[in-house]
Amino acid sequence: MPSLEERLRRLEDEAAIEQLLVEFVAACDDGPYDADRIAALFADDAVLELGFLGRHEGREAIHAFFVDVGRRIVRTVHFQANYRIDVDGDEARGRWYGFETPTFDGRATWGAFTYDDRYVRRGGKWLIQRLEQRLEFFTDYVRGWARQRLTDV
Amino acid sequence: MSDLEQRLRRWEDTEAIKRLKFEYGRLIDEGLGSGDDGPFPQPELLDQFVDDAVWEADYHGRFEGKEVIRDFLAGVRGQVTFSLHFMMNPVIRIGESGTEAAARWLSLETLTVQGGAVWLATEYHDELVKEDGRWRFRRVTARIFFMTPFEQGWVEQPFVG
Repeated sequence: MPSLEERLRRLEDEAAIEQLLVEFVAACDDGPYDADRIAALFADDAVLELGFLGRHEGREAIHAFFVDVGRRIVRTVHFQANYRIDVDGDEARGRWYGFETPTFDGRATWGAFTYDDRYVRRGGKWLIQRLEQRLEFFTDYVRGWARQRLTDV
Repeated sequence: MSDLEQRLRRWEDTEAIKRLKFEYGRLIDEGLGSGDDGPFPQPELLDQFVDDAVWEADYHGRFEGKEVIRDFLAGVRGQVTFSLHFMMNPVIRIGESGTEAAARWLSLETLTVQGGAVWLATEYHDELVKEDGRWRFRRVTARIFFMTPFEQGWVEQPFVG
């Protein structure tokens, strides 16, 4: 039977990781893609697994990727839902849904992605260790996900 | 039970109820999106309901009992081939007993219904009970604001087909 302290710690950790994710998308929306602010949320040896947008390993590569994205997406809004955070000591797994409205290469688009991430606590702070994004759809505003799952990228 | 323990328990219950709803959405989305692979509804999804649960929604009807809910959901898979449930804006109230709760959610859903993209906006009112340390749905009521073809919009056609 976990102690009160342990039970409280678990809830606090789950809440802290949710806040990490909110900060991640806020750093994507502000600017947009404030690469310095985004990269600071990742562990040194973190991995971004983005499917059609490639695999990016290490904080420097992640920083470079977001600088590049910021040139193609000049405005976006990320909505998050369905957090499921499972904490195990100083490691955690998180699954969540994201809905976005990117202005991509000058075109309005709808984006929907599901995520399956790993987090790690380093120096008392939760960081993203691995962010894995699965494409649900990323479609032109007028086309819709049934006719076009993925826009021209 | 100490006052501190009670406060903590209430918070844990609130988080457990959120997780239940998120898993409800995720299981439906994975099940509908998987084509004909595997059972739908999955055992984990059905296990979220008590035996005599009621699932009720505008334009769908009222389904009472786990078996009836199972048959209804199984029929949905033929119509809906893709879904994402974005569960948001939870309001959760744990009853005095600590074994009953009520939840209210808004959900935005993107569906593919008979090959066409559909926007769905829903307000859920759920009643939950805790048995053997686990929360389950006793009643799910969905009020549908619109279920509109992507190309039409909710003014022109608030409810598809």
